[in-house]
Amino acid sequence: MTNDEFKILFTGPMGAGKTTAITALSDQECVSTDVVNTDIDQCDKEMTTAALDYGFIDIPGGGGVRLYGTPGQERFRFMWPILANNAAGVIVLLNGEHPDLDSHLSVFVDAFWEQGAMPMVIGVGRLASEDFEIIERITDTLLERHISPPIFSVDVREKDDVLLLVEALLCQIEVNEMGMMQA
Amino acid sequence: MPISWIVETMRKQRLGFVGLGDDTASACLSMLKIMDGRSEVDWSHSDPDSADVLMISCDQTDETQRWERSGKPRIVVYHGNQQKPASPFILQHPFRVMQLLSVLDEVAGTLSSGGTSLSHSPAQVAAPSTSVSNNVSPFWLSLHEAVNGNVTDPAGLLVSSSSHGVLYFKPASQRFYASKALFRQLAAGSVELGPLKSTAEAVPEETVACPLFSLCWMVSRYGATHLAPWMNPEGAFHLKRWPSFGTLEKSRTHLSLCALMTKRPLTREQIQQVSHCSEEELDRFINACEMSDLMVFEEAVQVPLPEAAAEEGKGRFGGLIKGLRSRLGLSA
Amino acid sequence: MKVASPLGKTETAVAQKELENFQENTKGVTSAVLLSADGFEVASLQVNKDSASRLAAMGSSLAAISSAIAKEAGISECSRLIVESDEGVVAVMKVPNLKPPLALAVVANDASLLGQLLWGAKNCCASLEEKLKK
Repeated sequence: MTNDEFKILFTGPMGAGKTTAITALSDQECVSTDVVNTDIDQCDKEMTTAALDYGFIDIPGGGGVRLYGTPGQERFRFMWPILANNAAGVIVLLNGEHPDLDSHLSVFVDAFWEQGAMPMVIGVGRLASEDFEIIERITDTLLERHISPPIFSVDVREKDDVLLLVEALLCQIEVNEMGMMQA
Repeated sequence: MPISWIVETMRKQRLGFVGLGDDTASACLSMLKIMDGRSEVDWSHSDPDSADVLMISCDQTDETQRWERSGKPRIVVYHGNQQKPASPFILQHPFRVMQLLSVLDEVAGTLSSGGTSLSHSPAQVAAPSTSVSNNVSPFWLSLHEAVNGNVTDPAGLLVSSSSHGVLYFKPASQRFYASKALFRQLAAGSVELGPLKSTAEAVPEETVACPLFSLCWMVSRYGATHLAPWMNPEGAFHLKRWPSFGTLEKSRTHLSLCALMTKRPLTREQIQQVSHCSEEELDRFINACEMSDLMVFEEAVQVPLPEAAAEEGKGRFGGLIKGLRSRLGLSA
Repeated sequence: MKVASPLGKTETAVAQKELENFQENTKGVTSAVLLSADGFEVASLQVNKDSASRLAAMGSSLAAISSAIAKEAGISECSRLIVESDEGVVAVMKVPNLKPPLALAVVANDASLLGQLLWGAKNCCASLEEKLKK
């Protein structure tokens, strides 16, 4: 890890908006490893990420931020630790409408939380703006397991929502940097 | 930073009797008359329902057990031949005026911090007994009573009036109900909400629900920008988890406060030092989180901030984060 | 998570036969998996089931990254990739002109000769293309 770059990871199940979020932030055209999706039952999308998404944000004055998106399906989970290596933080995107939301929550948070050592933000998409019950339920479910990242209802097609997730992550990374981790 | 306290000369509190024999009760009433003017508090007798504090027999009857569950502060009265009760406030019968005065003053001291959680909030106990009314709005005060169970019927409904409509609160589910229009007004500007009162009405059908924190966050902006008096301003504060802002305003300052305060207990001074947040914004945040049961209080923390904490731009990523914020158009 | 194979029963049997032929005729082949571009196992030699499905997933990731890097490097579409070590080889190559797209992943030990291995695999792919294309 060089001193003039850091890395943010986007993860979550297929169709939750990882590629959309990275594309919204990246300065350059994103590298995608999309392939034809044959698993229509899991997600009705034409294409799916087989390896990773990659984007980059240039920072004037030198350096940049590397953005990595993991594949969503569990058969590709061998890629997750490879991509998570040296990440400064992870943004988990979930699909609030998906019947397997609870299982996705469990799978992705467990894979990346690292007992609170990895700064994490959760963005739940496709919720009605007045709907707070699902966020409350997710919050309580995680809190029972002593897991308490910020959780926001977002629409990753709106850049401001993606920026909110990034800002929440940056605030946590900064706090960690201060050496504030241990009471 | 010193906080100015407004001191009222006399505070009123009500004392209710439960399970005391007639003799004991009438002796207490006489003593209350004698005590008049000798305590910081003006104590009057009331029925247990309306009382702030209960004097309760240590005998375990249906009645005493029911009132034990009410959560109100209790002074447990016992006889010499009975085992000393394991309660924070006790009085052995027969007792003298000065003994009664002493224990009532003790209870009054804890009451100034409000609420019924006397057994596990040491930081709340330290607040001096002063006026509770000037720091926060009457609505905020009444909400504090409601969320702490100091209502006649915790399963019932409360209502607050405003010029823009009526707001309902169900303490049992910690939900507010009102028209969409009222919530929009509350989110957008200053709507004066009257204190919460019991109501026999039912929640009208056309209303929408709003969680406790969301309403607190909206209302705290103009109803609770000074630290509520039941909290010790010198104590340390720690968030149990990030609050759910929903679609409400959340600036970088608020996100920073969440990130900081979820990590470890910090005093207000330490938080301000690191976050450069105004006292008003910080107290508003603490008030809203505390009301929503998201805040943990501790005695003032001895552990100082790490040296690097207050210096922006330090650390492995410090300069990069600043650059990234600038690049993305996030506030500096 | 069992997904219906993109190939029918007959076609899968045909594919299986091709893999077996390939192994019989090529020295050092220890496993071969025909995989969908999105990482599902379509047919495989007699290998451990878990191993075959992992190879399928990893093979597809490698193929996808290879395509991306070829595009980045400005060279034409990646036709195959080879991972070499002292002890053996893993090769992944596309089976041309099939819908949905399929690829062949081959693992060979140090008894194999790279040239022969690649030639055999290429023939296997050509044969699969002929027999499976619609």
